[in-house]
Amino acid sequence: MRCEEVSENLSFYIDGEIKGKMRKDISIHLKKCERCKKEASDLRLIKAETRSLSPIEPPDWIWFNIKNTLWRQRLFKRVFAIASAACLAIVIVGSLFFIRTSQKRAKTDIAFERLKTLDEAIEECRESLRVNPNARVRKTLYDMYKEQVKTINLIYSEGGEQ
Amino acid sequence: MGLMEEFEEVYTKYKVKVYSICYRMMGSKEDASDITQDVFVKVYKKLNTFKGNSSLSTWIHRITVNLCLDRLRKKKLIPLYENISAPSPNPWLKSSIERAIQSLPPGYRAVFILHDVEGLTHYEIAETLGISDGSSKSQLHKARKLLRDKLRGVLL
Repeated sequence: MRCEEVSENLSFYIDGEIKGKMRKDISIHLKKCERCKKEASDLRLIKAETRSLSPIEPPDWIWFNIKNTLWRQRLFKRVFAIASAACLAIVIVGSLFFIRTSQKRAKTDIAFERLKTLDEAIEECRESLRVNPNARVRKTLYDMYKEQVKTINLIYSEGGEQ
Repeated sequence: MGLMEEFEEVYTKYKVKVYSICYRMMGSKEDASDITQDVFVKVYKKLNTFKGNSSLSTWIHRITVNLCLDRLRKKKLIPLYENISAPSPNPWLKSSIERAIQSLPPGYRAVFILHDVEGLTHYEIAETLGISDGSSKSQLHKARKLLRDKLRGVLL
């Protein structure tokens, strides 16, 4: 076995990962070759020394920092959740208010249209009564006045201000 | 048992291992402390998802090494080595080895620390680092050869 081949496999050899004939060949080579023997002995020493390197105890304050970080993150999450819920509530209430206002506005707009039409009809009716006074037209005029009052009341009840 | 109590147990069990890996990967107490904190904050967030100890252990090793490698990539610096006091019959060789570990390329360093210092098997390292068994063995072999070259003056 050549030194290069032994060197390429020494790490696996000292870990016991090489078995059978190859292991035997390397062992024979190591007995004869001083250079490879030294390499094997160095690797064994490095491995042994490395395995016995001391575990390193972390400083105590790390645990307090971790707990502090987790506490801050939980607090931030809670504040964020509350703020999100508040924003959502504002959006919902605002939307409901807007929808309600729009509905009211639509109702009063229709009522104003009706009032305008009634005004014109009343004016025409009064004109007609002046020219030809009769009970049927008077009754129609009376009904239109009643409708006018009803429409004005509806506008006030919905909060219309035109 | 509450989540915080369970987390405290996990911290107690793994703190030395995580801090030791971080310290040997980074070569500085400051970085090791920072990364150890980041590792355990991540562990806390995912603790509920782990059932068995082995998957938790592999995962802790993985995030520890990955966070170290990320930090090394960002820093693009060869880590500084701070002396640590460790009782040993041959502290001089040990400290030379500690220093030499720091000078290994980050990938080799991770495999070397996990195998030769922490005692993980190649199978566990492969799981942890997302590489093959063979790649783990080959990187360990190269790491040891590099270490031997660097320690040539010390190994008489």
